[in-house]
Amino acid sequence: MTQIQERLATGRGKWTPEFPELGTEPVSYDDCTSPEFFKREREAVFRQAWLYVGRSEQLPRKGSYFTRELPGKLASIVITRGLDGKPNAFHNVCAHRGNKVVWQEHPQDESSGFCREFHCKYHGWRYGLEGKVSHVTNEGEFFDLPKETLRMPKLACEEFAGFIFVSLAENPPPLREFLGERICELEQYPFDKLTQRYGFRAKIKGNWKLAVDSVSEWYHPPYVHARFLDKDISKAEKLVPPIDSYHYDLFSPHMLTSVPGPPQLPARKPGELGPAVNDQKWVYRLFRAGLFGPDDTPSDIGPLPEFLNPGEIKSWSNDQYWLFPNLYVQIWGRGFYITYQYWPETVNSHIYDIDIYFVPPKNAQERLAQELIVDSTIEFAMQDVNTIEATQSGLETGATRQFHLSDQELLIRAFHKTNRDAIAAYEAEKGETK
Amino acid sequence: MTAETPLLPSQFAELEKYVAVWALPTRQERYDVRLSKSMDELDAYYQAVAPRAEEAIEYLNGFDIEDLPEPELNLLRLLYSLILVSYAVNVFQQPSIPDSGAAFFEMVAEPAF
Repeated sequence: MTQIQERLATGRGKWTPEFPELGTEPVSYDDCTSPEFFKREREAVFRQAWLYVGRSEQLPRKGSYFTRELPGKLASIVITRGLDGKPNAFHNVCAHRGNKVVWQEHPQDESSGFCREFHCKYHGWRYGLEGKVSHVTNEGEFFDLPKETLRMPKLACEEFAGFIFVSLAENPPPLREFLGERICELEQYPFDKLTQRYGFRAKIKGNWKLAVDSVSEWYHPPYVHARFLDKDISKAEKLVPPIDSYHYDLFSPHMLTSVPGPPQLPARKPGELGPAVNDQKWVYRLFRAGLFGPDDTPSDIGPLPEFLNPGEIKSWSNDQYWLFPNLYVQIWGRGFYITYQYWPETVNSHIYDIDIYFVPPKNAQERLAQELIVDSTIEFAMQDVNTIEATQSGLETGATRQFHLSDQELLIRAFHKTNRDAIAAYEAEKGETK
Repeated sequence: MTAETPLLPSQFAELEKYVAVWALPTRQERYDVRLSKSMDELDAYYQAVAPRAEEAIEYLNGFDIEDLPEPELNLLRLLYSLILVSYAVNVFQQPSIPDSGAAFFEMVAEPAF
């Protein structure tokens, strides 16, 4: 064993057999290539579940709003902070003749701002912050207009730990019930202190679930990210933590993986850095940061809540919480967090959003450390996403229909099953009520 | 350039020739420059800026990060570019990420400074 493997190994056996409902047999990936499955998934999952649409900081005060164009024409919505301080969401559609009400310059672009009322650009109808019509131009010219009930169609909208969720379902369960006890623990984390945001968006030519898979296992790093570890893959393989050093937990439909990482470097003494050399480790030491975060955790974030690292893994780096159906919240021990969100567009394309949040930096050194973490995260993510396109291409040939998942890939097994089960449950319920 | 408005703090004047190309306000612009340069140009930038970086960070720490005078802001932006360039020089040995094909992340939110 290498040094890192000796230090972190637990000798723990396989995880998957502890969840007998997952099975251990080969799996089909038709759920990533079938247009028919895509339609069912959209209806049963994306039109029913609670979906994260933005952070509370995007609605800093009463009258703040932002719009979202949920990919694949899932919905075009407006999210506002009402006069009661609560968030509201409604479809961005005028009750008069269907015009999109809130937009600037380009109707397809998302926008944000602050107002007391929304004015439809077509005929001047106005709407309050809850989406109800407040003014109809030349109202007397209409016929039996039910003005009191006219509105931009309402959506369920709730805020949790500073994350704003909406649901397109008519009667969704309360958000906290949907999230469950384990996810609700996230409310103990001081997300509100991490307001320094870097946001990225990419269009990926692959099914959204393939992207989720790519960050749900720790089997790929020595290959996809070899150059960051060692140009010689046989050496890179020895630099990653051993497979038994990770922690997994399933609390369907959501789940968790905890990940080990390197320790922080102690404060640097004068002259210790040494002259500049062509070695990325020197750059990491210079800026006191790397992919796993800064070497100096911001002090004002306070102690970490106790719910983190529930598996008590050694050399803990981060907890990656999966909030079904399409959001990872990754909380890092070194005082920052990242959200990864996957929005299906078509059966073989999706929009991938990565947002990285820090405590606002106090000086240039902290600011530069954050910049390096952001750049590292995106360089790694770019390596991941091109692999997704390659996987989609391979699957679409149909040449192979049965695939093999190892124990390290149990979250992938669980995620696809949860998604299939959600579709089956929705369709069964719909069948019964018909 | 006038004596009143130097591009960089005087002790870093040797790096002034990089300001126009690399001291850009957004990450997207800095990344575009990296992709547009040859490895020789990226190497030259790294060899010029990296040896001064520790001193530059120390110097900039003495300022209010939210209210940097222009020469200091330029210096900070040169360091942002150093980070982007370092991956090309030390990790990839080419301007773009190997095997990243058409993959690209558009930046939708970025701190103001």
